[in-house]
Amino acid sequence: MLNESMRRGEPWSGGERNAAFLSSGTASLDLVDAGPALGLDQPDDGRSAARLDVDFDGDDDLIVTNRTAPRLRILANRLADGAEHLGVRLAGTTSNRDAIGAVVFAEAVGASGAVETQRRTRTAGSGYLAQSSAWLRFGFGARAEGGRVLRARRVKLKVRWPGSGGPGSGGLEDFGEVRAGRRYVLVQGSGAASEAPAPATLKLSASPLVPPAPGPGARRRLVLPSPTSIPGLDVRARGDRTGKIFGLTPSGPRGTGRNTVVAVWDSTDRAATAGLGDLAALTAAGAEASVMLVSVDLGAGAPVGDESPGPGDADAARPDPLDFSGTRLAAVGWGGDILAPRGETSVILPELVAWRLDRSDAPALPWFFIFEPDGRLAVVRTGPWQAGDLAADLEVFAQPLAQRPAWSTPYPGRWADPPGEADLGRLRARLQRRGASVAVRELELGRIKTTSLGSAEVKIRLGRTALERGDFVGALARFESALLVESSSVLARRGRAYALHRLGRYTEALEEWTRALDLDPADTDTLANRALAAVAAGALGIAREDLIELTRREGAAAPVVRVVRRAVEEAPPPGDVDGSAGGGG
Amino acid sequence: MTFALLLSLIGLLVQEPVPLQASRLLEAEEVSSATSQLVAGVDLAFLETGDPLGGESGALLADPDARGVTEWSPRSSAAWAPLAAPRSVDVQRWSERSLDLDPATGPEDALDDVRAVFAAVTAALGGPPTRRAEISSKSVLPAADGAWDVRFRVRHLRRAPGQGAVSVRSIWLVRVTVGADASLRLLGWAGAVTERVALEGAPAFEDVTRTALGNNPATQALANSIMTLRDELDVDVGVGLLGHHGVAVADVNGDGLEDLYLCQPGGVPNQLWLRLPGGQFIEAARGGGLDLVDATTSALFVDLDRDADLDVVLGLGSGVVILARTEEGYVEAARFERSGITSLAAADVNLDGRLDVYACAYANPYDGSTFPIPYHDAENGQGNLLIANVTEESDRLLLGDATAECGLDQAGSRFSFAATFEDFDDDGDPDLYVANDFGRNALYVNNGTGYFTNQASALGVEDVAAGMGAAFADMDRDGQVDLYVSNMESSAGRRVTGQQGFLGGADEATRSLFRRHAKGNSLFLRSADGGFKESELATKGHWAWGSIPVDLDGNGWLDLFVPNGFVSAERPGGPDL
Repeated sequence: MLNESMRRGEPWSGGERNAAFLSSGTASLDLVDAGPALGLDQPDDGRSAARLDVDFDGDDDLIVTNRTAPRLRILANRLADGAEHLGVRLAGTTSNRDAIGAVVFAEAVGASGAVETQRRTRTAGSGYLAQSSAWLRFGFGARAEGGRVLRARRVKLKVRWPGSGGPGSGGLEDFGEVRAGRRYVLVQGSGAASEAPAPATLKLSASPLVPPAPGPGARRRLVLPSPTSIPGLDVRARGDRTGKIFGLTPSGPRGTGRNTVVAVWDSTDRAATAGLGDLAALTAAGAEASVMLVSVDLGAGAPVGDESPGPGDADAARPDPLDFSGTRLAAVGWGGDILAPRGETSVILPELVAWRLDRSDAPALPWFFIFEPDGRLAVVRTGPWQAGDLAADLEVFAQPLAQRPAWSTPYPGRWADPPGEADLGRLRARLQRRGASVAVRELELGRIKTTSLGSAEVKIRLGRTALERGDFVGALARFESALLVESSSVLARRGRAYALHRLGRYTEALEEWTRALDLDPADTDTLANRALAAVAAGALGIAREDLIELTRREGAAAPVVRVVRRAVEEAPPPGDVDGSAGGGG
Repeated sequence: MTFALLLSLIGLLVQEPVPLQASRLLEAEEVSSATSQLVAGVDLAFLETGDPLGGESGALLADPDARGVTEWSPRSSAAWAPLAAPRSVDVQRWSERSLDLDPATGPEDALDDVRAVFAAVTAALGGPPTRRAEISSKSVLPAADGAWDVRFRVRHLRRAPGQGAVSVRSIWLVRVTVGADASLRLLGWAGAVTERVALEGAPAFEDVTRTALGNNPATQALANSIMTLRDELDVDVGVGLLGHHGVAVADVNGDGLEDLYLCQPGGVPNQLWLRLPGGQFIEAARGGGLDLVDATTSALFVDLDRDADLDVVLGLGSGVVILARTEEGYVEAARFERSGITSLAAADVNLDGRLDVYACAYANPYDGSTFPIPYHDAENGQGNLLIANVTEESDRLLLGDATAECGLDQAGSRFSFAATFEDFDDDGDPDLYVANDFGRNALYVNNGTGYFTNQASALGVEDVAAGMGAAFADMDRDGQVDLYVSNMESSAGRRVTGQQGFLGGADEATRSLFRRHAKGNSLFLRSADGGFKESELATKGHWAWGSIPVDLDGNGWLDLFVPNGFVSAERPGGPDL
């Protein structure tokens, strides 16, 4: 739930200003958040921070990574400019070569003879997701003693190398005396600090990275690292022709045999054709490359659940909205098919876009879906079409599939572990939430993801094969093992219920149909089957309630309703079956 | 009596976080001046000269043996540039005495009280606030006679050109009664300045990223937010919602100048910014084989095979990948599969001269796959990894999972964000602190052979909270290391968990653990008895991540920089959780 809120771009402890707790520099430690006064109070979503002397002036500057823009800040330290620093780098010989774990003690000797010790450890990995500079830095401020500012203070350096025991065990290597304001390399066992002159100091002027201003219109191009099947799209063309494009079958995706661009828009939006972009260029480029072009006008579709065909039927006087759609598209040079959504199509299309963007909702129309010849979705575009877009997409199609991940990002690089197949489970969950039960069933049936023989899908597939050859005992065993893997699989529930039913174990079948119905209450076949099982088990109360619900959903004349009604009417009266005619609650 | 004017002021203040009206305009001015600065002229000279080496940038990965640490050629024989005038930050604090509320006798009297507090703030600032005023927290507590005390902590900032910066904290108290018709009646105002932090002269820290790295495709990718990248790339390319991408500083090409490696989300290759002798940065990940496009959280450059060059350990969403530095560049040498790798840390745990690697693995509760149970003390995460190094030959890394053998499977199924090694007990071997989200942290004490025992509880550093970062350092300069842990501080969270009714059915111990969860960062000072004592200092770091100890002002005392914030709104406005 929280994740959903963040996907919508809503904040959660956002806009917080970074803090910088400054030490009082007194023995009774005190720390004050001086972030605002120091300019270390950026309201970024800060993540990782590391030390590095980026301008070679001897003090530590800060490297900070963010979730928000800009995702990197190099913050040059001007605060310590007046202070004197000593830089120390270590090289292990018998210990690990990076000298990680070594501790350096720096004792500054003041003019008055007072000794102040600073302790620093060479670490690899500290803070969060960060590795800081190997240079250990000691600060000596800028102090006056006896009326003059102290410079080049004498500092004694001692190192405890990893494995050389505590301070009491004499495990400290003495590197003698050095001068502050310089840098030294200490090699384990050498006993002498060798000076490593610093590069010339750089003057870096203030200038943060600035995110580019968002362009006009939200043009996006999402290239899927791995093309994916999608559920079939019910569509209607002029002249009341209907059909289904794309979709999953047990033997694979269903394609048009050609690369296909599906442009989705809404003719009831007056500004829609302007927002579609250069469709004439798309038409021309599509004809040249024999790409199939299809438009789907969401404004010309019937609402979900209202499957009464538009013109020519009950309401012949009403003009086909597709005529209007066609007129508008012709005016902008469109030469492809002109279709309207049917059934769940107008639900599926926005969910497809939102799924690929990992957002709760799809952005504004138009959307363009570009398919492989075999029917798998390869590219999703949003915003106006521009000349040259199709050529760019065809370039992607020309690549072998294994190269696709490299084309899924405009930033070239090397994948150690390329992205795998698209997660159809997430699409299924989205469609389930929107009540697109036909598409959900199709995803469950047609999902071809057999990487693991132990997966519930494979077991369900085997169970269905057993059903087809009439082996109900074998089918029951397969569906039960599928449920062990995935207890919430509605397909396995239905399969088990069906097998029990056919085996005559009606009471168990009734229970199992009920579980399947809990998982997918919208499925009419399950409801009808439960009613039949209830009749057979003598639970006539349940059967009658289911019949009422079925009649409400499908109408009294539907074949399935007639079958159930006959079963209920022909059932023996409750008295004949002892005590099992329970209520339908 | 009802004071319409003042009530409208309350209405303004109650929305949180709210810059006061006037300062909102000033924020806009701040933005426009920053923009004009960019246009005005940035020194990009070295970028316009093209590739300084005139060839494949990967050629910069020179043979490491040729240039040892001590042998790199000096460019300046002198010490650092002459020192500028010393700068110091002036801090003044006033103890928070109880505010004497002078009951208002009428609208004018109440306004006078407001003006008096504001005058005190202005005096402390040395002028009117020029940057912003922000409410950092507010609380509502019952007062006597059915009245309510609303307390705001406000922070004003004044930054005038050439005059340095001053920030002033103040506390404002408004006492109201609520009438039967839910109308508010104001009883009076009071307020006081509690803290003033001032710095003279030029800004103390400046963002120089664009000057240093230039304007090029690599920096353009860095300029975009995670949400923008998510909008540009298909979900399976792997730009994670939460943006956990770290940084490593290391002398990757062995030329004596430290380089910068930036871990990036999926679809954006990791970036290696090599330092050229003149100090310029050049992006060269591709030439070295370090341009991984996989979502990368963290990287560690360490010499695993003792051949004097730096190998690299990468934390990916799918596991730990280790690339050996060979003559051909970086070559994959080992892979340890484990989902959700967060922080990495290296140390020679068994003191055999070879660096071992510890990797935190965080089971993500935000995608619904693993929900921490119980929330305040969850142990249903996943185990972290100790990768033991038994390499014998150069470029032939031999690594193995030795988590259990090292005793690091104790308390090991949590939600770990950060780990850091330090010989905190000064016995010569590296010990390990692990910061866990949703529960207790671990301090694994090394017995000298690489076998660890968790003693966090006995040593007083369990810090049951939302641990997100950890660092050891000697903060109080007593010669012993102290420990700073990043946590979650939320005034809203504190407000909720402090309510009497909160978790009504839970015992007091559980309630106090929940309260602690939103308390903020923890500073543990090592005490004379060998354990740690929790300090009250530096707790208010908001929702903090990679806090690091660093001497910001160069006086020898370590300060703490705290990057924070979880998820900002994609677009301004709207409520925050």
